[in-house]
Amino acid sequence: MTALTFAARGLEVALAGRHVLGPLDLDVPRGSFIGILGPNGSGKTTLLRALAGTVDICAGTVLLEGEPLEQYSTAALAKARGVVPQTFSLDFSFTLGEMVAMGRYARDESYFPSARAGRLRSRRTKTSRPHGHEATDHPSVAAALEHTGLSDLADRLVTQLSGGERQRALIAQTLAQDTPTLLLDEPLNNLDLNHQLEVMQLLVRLQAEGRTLLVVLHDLNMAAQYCDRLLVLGDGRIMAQGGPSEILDPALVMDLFRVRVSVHREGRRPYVTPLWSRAAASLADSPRTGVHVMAGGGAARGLIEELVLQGLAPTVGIVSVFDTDFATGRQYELDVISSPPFEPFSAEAVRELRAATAAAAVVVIAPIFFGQGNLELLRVAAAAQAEGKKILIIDSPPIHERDASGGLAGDMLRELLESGATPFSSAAQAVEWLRYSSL
Amino acid sequence: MNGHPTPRRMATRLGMSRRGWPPAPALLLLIFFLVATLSLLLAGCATQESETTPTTAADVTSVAETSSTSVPSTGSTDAQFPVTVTDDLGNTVTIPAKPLRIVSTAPANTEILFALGAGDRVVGVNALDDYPPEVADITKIGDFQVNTEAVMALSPDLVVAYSGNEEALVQIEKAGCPVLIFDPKNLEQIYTDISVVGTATGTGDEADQLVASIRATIEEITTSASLSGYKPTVFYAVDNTLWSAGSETFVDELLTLVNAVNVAATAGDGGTAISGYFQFAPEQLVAADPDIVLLPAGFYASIDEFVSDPRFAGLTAVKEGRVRLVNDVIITRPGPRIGEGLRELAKALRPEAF
Amino acid sequence: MNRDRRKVYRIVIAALVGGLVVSTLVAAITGAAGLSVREAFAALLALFRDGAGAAGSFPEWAPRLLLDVRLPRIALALIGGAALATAGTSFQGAFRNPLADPYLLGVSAGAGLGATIAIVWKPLESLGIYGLPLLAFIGAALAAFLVYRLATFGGRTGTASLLLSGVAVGSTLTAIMSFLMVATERDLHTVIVWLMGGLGAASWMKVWITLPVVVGAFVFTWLNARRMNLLLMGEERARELGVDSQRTRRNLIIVASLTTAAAVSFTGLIGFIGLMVPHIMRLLVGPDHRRLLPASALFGAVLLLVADTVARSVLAPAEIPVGIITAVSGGPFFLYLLRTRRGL
Repeated sequence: MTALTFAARGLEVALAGRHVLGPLDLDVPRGSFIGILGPNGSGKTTLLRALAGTVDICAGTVLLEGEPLEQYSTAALAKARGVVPQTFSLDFSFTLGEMVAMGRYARDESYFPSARAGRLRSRRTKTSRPHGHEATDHPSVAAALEHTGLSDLADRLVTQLSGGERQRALIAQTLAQDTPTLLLDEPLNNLDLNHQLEVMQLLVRLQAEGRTLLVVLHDLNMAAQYCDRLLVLGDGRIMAQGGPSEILDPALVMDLFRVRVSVHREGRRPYVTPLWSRAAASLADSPRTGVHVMAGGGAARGLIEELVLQGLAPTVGIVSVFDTDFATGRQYELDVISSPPFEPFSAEAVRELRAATAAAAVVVIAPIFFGQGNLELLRVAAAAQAEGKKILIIDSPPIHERDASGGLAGDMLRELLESGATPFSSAAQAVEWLRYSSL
Repeated sequence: MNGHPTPRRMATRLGMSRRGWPPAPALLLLIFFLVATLSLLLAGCATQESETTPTTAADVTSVAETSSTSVPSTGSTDAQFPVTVTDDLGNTVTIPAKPLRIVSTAPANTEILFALGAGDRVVGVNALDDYPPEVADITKIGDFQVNTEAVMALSPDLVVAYSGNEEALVQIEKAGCPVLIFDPKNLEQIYTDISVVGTATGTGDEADQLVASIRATIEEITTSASLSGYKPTVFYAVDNTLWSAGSETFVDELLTLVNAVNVAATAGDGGTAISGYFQFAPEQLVAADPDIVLLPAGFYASIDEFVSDPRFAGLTAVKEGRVRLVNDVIITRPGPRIGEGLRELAKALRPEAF
Repeated sequence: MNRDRRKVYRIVIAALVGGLVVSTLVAAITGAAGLSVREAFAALLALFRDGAGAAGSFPEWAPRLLLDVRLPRIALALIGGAALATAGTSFQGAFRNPLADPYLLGVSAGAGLGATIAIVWKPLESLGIYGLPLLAFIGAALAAFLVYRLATFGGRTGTASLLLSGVAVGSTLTAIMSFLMVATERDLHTVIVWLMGGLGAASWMKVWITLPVVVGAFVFTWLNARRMNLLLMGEERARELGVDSQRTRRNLIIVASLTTAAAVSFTGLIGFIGLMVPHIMRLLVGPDHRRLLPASALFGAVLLLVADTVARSVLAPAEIPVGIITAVSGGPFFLYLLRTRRGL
């Protein structure tokens, strides 16, 4: 049985008379990297604090490295685990280096307040290194600064740091504590994406060193990318726990977060993208609002996603079954008119197309690569226009860059425009127009 | 392990925890004892220093003296010294030789010294001194607070002080200069004080004469007052906020001597006595309705301030014009002019008789 | 630069030590009884040779004066200044507020009341000259204790509670003291003069009493310097980093209050040193308490010594209460703070 860093049984926490967490059971194996997720108010921070020993537990037990948490002295606790809270306040003019060095208190090297810098013999390495009077000279401090990219700012006053720098400073301070376990509460707040990635990669490296990490995160994708276990809280209870692949399931996400997402499993780890801004039970219930998208060669992917995001379910076609636009359409469970590849469109497909455009009120032409094979699309579009359907044309990239039909496609598109089609330079704009036009 | 102990090992050896701050009780105790020992050592040095008094022998009473009482001695020759006297606080003080550099810290004492003819030997006086006029040229050594340094700088061989400044005078005593502290509560004690000063300054004869003269004056005034048969009720204002002097005060004694009834002495519920100084409430004063109201010239420029106060308009004394200013200095200063002070009071009671 | 800070610190300490020596010398030769430097030295030397010395090289009273009057006063000023500065630094650290001062927890009100009772209540005169300091100390200690207990709820003592409690207890005690003052007009002057602070009755005994207390308090506080640094990040964060916040804070406050009480009971209420000195030193040597504490103690000592020297020489032989001198310098200091911080 693997050693457990944390073992909680029946853990319950009440704050100001209100029950906020538990009862819950939790095992955190040593060396694991756990992401704690959940909506606001679900008890994530409280759970972290309960495990860290900084908030009183009203029922249940928590074991840290096999010992009950209550039996740890403040000092022993500080050697066993490090906590990175969401924020800090230090209104005094310490330098960043001094602040980070404060993390060394529990380990404590510097004994005398201001001895002259001497040399400390290290038994282990049998070399002597400068042992300054400040803990700031300790290698852990320099390492912590480097890991958080703050080495150049070591002499800056903490009162002059930006929000992101403050966040990283807090992390560095806890890193300097050099603990086998780390608990971090939303450490990515206020950070630009590159710093967010740096921090997460740093955490992975720390895990590789054998440390146990628990991180409260807001970003589901970020958690899935880096953590090996996810814990989802809701209303103070554990709603789900498991690996990223298990947790990132559309039905589960819907249950937990009330958001419709699409799960992508191409990469090393799955990630999700939201489907629409308002929850809908299934695509089948959404209104068929009469939009048809002419797609092909992946040119309509963005358009289709935009439409789906807006809650519109277009019909798509005609595309070959190997076409990525086909896959996109199927992914969103749309009606896609397909035709066998390497052939001109089948008669059946064209019939379906005409039916679809007849049923639709608007036809949107994506910036497809036109060749002899799909000119039929434009003919059908012209016919639809004659019947009074509105035609939207996305003309970026410009047609002459994607016209392999000897100029015919360009002529036909121009005719459509002259007859009342509206051009847009991006899918987003087209969809925007659609939203505000009465449909 | 070989090699000299690193700070951490030393820390463990001294019984300290592995954390640096703070070191365990051991080090703290060590530091405390070091400091305490050092302090005690230095204290020893210092007290030794100040205990060596240069010239005086121990208590040697003078041959002519009978005992260390406050009975006035006779004779004013230098053979008198050393003498031992007792001051008002009961301290037995030995004056080794005839004092030639006397410091007085209270106006009353200064007046006594001058009255005894020792004025030319006075080198330091209180800044509040105003009589006799010669004091203007004498070095001032403080007012309410006695400035120890200023006194020391005059190298006195006798300090005649008033109670309340004992702390400032401790150093001077330790330096070997005799300090007499007076705090007379009544006339008899003033006489005693004068005698003690006389003995201490080698002017015993003059002291006896002065006391006798004051007694005579007082006797005369007292007799005339009682003979007059006039026994008015009197309110004596100590300041300008209706503070007055109850029974067992100096002022009360004087008022009794001039045959006045001190309303403050019977201002308690049902006419009981209130002792000491206290403040009258305006209603109390109105209820007491004294025959005469005496106001101190040190606090009132004229009687108008009191007379025009609407609260007191109904007082008999106000209506019949018996609100009078008195020279409060000579009345309340327990010095040689106390006889004059009594005369001042008597005059205030029966201006027509003087 | 951290290196820069260390350099600045060394310079500051050196300057302060130099200032200490200079101000001690100046104080030794200044006063109602004037002495030249030469005379002072000659007199001091004579002390060590037990009275012998070239007659005429110093006034006859000089050795006595120096030893019994001036030197103890100088020592008491140094000790008192260091005590107040150290206590002020502790309070500013414990409350995480650079505007805290040692009188926050009712110490001044308690001392004032104790002293007033000692002066006013005649039966207590039998306690002698140590009666007043004793009662002042008891008053101050009791007040601080009361404030602390009142502000503790379920083992936790919050900053806001302490401040409120301090104001409540302080104003009540001050009211009682004022009432006593009014009720006994005779001794009013004595009480007021004591309240304004003064070192006039300094003696070696007082020095020996206060010296171990103040040195002990300083050492204790300095040993807690690292914890005080961490406390500046807040009790919670300090606990996360391994500091027993509640206990440390409580100990610091207790020691600081008792130190203040001890100082104040002998010197009266001298204001502004506990407030200004740590504040100024923080600007010079930084907020790290390992440097701030020694620097503040030194500066406080020098400052009080200078103030006292001014107080007793400007209007000699009369003495201005020292508290007035420190208050006079406090006013411009706060104005300066106000203007440079632009109302922050």
